[in-house]
Amino acid sequence: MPLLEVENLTKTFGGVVANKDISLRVEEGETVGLIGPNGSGKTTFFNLLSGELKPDHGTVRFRGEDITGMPSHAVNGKGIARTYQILRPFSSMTVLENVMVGALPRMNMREAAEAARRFINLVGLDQRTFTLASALSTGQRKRLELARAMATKPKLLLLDEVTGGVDHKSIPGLIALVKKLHQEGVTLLIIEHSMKVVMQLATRIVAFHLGEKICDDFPERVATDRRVIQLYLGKAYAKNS
Amino acid sequence: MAEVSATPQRRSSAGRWIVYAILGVFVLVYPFMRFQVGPLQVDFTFPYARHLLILIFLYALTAQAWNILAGYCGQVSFGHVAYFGIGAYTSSMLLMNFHLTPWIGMLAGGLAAIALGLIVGLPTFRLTGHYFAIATLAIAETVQTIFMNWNAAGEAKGLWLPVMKDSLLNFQWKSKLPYYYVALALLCLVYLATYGMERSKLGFYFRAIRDDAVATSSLGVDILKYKLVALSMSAFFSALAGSFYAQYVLFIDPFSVLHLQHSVLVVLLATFGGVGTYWGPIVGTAILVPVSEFVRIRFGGTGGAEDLIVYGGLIVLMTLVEPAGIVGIYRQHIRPQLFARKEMVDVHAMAGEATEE
Repeated sequence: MPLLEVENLTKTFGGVVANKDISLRVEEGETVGLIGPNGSGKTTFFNLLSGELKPDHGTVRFRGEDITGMPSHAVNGKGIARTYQILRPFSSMTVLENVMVGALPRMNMREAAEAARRFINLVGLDQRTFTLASALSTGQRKRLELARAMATKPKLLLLDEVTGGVDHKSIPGLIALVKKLHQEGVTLLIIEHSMKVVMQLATRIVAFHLGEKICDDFPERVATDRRVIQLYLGKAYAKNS
Repeated sequence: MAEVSATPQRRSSAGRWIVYAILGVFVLVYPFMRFQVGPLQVDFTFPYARHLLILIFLYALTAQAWNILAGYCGQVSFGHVAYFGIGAYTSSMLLMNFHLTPWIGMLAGGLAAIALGLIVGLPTFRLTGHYFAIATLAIAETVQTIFMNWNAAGEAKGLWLPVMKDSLLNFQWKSKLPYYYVALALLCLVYLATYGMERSKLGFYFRAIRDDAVATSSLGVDILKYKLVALSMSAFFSALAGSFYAQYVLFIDPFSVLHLQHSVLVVLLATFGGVGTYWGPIVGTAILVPVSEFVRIRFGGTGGAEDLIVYGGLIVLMTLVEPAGIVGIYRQHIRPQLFARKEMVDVHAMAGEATEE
């Protein structure tokens, strides 16, 4: 049984079809990369999976259970967590408190604090445990969001542009961290613009364009797919890859 | 393992506890204080001196109750007088019609306020920020209009509570002294509840909802449920204050316990002191209520406009100088080393960093 099974997922905003008949399958243990131009519907897809939006048609099955249209807190309870493209830290709370919010729905205060510290160590923010989230740099906030999402003990983690806005030097560290999270037993579905990052992490790549899935295959095949090159990667990529 | 704190990191110095102890003793003996030090004569045993503190306790109670919902949980209500009024009317009508002791009436009022809160909250909490505030305003006005036209509640004429024998059961005394300690006890109750909330899961969830409700929901927290919990706590204590008021003044009508002015006042008091902080409401009340009384006595008139002008001026001043209120001023300027909000970084860690992000 696949971990995630999406069938004909459709979402329209007024005249704009953000997601059109998207069907997708994610097996446990995979790292699936989701690529495509801005506005192709990737984040909308995430919002539909995580419960922030309700689809117009289609179904989402997680571990065999139909979770279509469930609110986001219930979806998280089932085992799906996500990070955001535009970061959402709890600014008035410390790093520790931020991560604890993720852990508290499942355990008591003391356990949550211990679990939170473990995840803070995992993402390398232990020196900042008592720092207010508002005082963190962008890269640190991204790590915070990862730790916080992981604290909810997800089986599937949706990462929305985790390397967006991060300087070149820090990207290898982030990639290594994502791989570490994967080793913790989390299946990953990641939206990424950097092909360099996607090729290093993904076992499979799905390409979106104008709300539709145009490719779903092994990374090497997607990178050389004619349509993907034409609509997203550009001819220069084909020449250099 | 280092201690986990649910609140912004601050180390309590011994000095703080000494200050608390002194204030605590002062407040306990205040109604009996009558002495002379040289030419200075101090007498707090007469009714007005006690009345002033009773007002402060009462308003601090309502301000902190509002603070739980608006300051900690981020849901700004401009219609909190509805809960105050429901409390006042419930206990009074139960007393007058069923001779029920106002203590039970007070609890009933609290429950009625929670019920109103749930009715209000369920549809309005789906609205974002400003729309929620407007909705609460509209609902409070509706509640006032209902009571103005409700025969059994005395309509616009209001209710004259029966004068009864001095007793604890009757919740009525000729002297202000028992009222003083009851008001103090109620204030301590709401502060105790807030203290417990701060350190529990509720405190975490409330603050997270305030900072980012969408992210909070994505972490598995039912934000509607917790907003309703915050509203229930807030409504309950507001209603207790309303019942107290009814028993203290022995007259209530829609213009004294269901008026918009009370809603605005509650917001001003908590905001001036420091919204979202623990001591903010009582600090704001302890400053603004005496100021308002002074203005009313000094400039005469009905007292309705002058003190609001002064309030308005103070609020504008506070908003320009320090939006975080008096407590904000304390944290930023008087004791910044304890509250360095932007500088809570381990300096050694910074020095040891190379390429760490």
